[in-house]
Amino acid sequence: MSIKLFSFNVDTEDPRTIKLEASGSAYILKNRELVPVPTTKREFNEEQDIFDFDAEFGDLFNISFNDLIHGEYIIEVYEGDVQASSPILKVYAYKDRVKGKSGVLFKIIGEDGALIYTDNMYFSPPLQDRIGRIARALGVDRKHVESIVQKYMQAI
Amino acid sequence: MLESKLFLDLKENGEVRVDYKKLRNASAEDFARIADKVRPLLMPKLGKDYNLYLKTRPELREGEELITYTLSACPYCNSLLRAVVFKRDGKVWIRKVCPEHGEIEELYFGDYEMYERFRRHQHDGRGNLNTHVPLVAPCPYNCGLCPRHKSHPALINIVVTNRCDLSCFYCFFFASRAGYIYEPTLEHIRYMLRQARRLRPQPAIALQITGGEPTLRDDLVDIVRIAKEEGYTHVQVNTTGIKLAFDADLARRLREAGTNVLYMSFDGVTPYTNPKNHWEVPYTLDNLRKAGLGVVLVPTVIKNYNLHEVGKIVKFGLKHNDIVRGVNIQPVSITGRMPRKERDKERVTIPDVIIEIEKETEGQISRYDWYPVPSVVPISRFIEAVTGEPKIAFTTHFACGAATYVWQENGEIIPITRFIDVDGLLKFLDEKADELEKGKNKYLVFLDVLVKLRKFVDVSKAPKRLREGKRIMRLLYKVFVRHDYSSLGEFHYNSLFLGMMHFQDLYNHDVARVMRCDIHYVMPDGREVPFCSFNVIPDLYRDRAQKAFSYTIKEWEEMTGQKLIDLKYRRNIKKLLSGEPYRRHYEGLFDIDSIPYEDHVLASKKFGIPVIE
Ligand code: SF4
Ligand code: SF4
Repeated sequence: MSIKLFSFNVDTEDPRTIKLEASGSAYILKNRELVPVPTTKREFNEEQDIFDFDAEFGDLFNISFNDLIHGEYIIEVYEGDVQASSPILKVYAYKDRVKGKSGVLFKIIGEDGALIYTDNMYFSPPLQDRIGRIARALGVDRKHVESIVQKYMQAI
Repeated sequence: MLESKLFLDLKENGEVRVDYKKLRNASAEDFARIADKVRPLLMPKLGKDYNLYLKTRPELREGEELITYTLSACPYCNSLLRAVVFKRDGKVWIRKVCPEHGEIEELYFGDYEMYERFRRHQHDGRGNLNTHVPLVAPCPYNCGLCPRHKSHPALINIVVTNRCDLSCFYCFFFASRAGYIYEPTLEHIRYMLRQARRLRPQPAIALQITGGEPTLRDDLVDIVRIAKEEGYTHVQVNTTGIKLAFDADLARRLREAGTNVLYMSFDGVTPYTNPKNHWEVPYTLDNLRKAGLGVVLVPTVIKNYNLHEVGKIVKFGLKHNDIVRGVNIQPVSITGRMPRKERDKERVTIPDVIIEIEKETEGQISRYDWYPVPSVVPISRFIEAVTGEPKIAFTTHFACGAATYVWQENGEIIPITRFIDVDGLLKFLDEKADELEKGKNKYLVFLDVLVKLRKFVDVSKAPKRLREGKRIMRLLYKVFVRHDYSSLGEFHYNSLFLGMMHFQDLYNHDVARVMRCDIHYVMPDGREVPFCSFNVIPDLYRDRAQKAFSYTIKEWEEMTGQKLIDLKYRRNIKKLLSGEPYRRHYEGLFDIDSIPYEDHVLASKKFGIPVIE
């Protein structure tokens, strides 16, 4: 299964102010452990990537490519391949410079590529509840998810 | 199980058609299952219905100043293009380049200063927790609603028929021109209404029943009842009002079934500017008075046609504001393809209409009295923060619509801004909502609101009824401190709501606007599609979905024993002109006696409505 992740940074005033940055990583479940998926970086290609970008962030941040092109923006694409047939955990760390807020959001992709779980910046429960939910859904130790989150929280 | 014999007809050209006559007795649950199967077949397809041309960035020229970039569709092939929004000569324009069809430039907003003032009031929604379709295509080819949509619905539209008793020259929608009859059964309507109420955290509570001409359905009153049963607290019917001019009982029955208000087209005060229903409106208004059913007048404004009459339309509303609750003006949305020169004759935008009203009312309603739709978000935000319950928030794009409230006293028009510091109050409520969201003690915030609210109101300048006993202050305290909205009717008493919504077309289309849209249509396959996708790209949404669930005209005529052609309205102008209501309603707005009978007849016929002579 091929995996696509994005990082972006946007600064726009029209039609409303958005100053948001986010970057993601993916983990594959192997022997009840979450193992990072290696990825390679490439440039964003509008026509090729617009749909995947919107699909990745439409539900997480309620944001789309069209929001980004309204102002200054950078998008980078990270691609990887995994052989094993197990779920993938995507972790996105973000910083909202308008609200002065930062955090971590999750997505789980099933073995067949279908979306199993997604967070949402506006409606998701507190981080600790979500960590528990992710650990239960993947059948891993909660501490393991916590340590991944810690790493990102320190980075932002 | 009905869906096992889905009666599905897949034509070679990819057209999907359900054999609708076999579904006349299907239940709402049957329709839910059928819609689930048909929906994916009807979604727009990349490469077939549209292409992506995102590499070409339209250039700016000398004298032009960049405002922003956005995405937009090509008026000729529906493809998704990059567009630039820019300032030139004090106005705002949009330009895009299609590799197949060249450059397209259009006026976006007729006044840059107003654009900037409105932009400062933008508030976005938080999206929806659940949606009707997964994210499978770029916006606007994924309607809807898809997970990236930013607003919850403020108003759901449901088309209950595409039959119409008129044949307006500019309309391609009505049955005889479309070539099929779309008229969902009551159970199908129930299914659609349920679909539109599914969204969380904020399901729709307001519904507009529309057509075609909905009053042509004998079971319209039942549809209103079903809407109420399904949880819609506000139901409005969109009509020309013609049938209601002759059927007082229908007005009464609609009111009794729970219709809250009618939306009635009204394009001007003279027969020249409003050949659609000029002669019938006085009789309709009288019948609505008898039924106690309020009405909002809905003028479509075209530059070279009726822009000069918008002030008079507002005055007509004020003259009859015992029954007219509002005037909701719609600058024209250009349907079909039209060369630039022709478009320039018609094109008018929100600022152009606002400035014209300012001129025609001699400044009594000034441009600064208008606020963009999302400006009221601080009110719902504050109430939501206090009550902890989700509230309807009007989070459209600021360029989509504007509104104000006016009262009339001793011949003088008093806009709300004359006695309420609207900017100050909205800013104050936004700050209080921030404080509440950050966890500040509710009672301290209330105390502050209680003390400071008076700062924003000049009671001495309020209309008499709101001035007496400082009623306006009591009202505001009730709403913002006690959250008691029962007395809001008193605020609206004698007031006239003035609204404006500039529905898009493919020339000025902006993805940033449609993805914030809060006026949606529920379609027969259960999708909820923003107005400006449903009507702006009708071949991919409205027409495709409705045709799939339609009868052929022959089937419908056999089924009902009626002939479509026999339903066409024929106007008796002589009779309508000679009735007392006609003069009473138009007196003082134009010189009634100066228009010869022949001109009346010509105006009606030119528009496409035959006359009984
Ligand atoms: S208009 Fe809304 S529902 Fe339609 S594709 Fe765009 S975001 Fe999705
Ligand atoms: S209907 Fe059109 S103009 Fe109105 S809010 Fe929706 S996108 Fe904007």
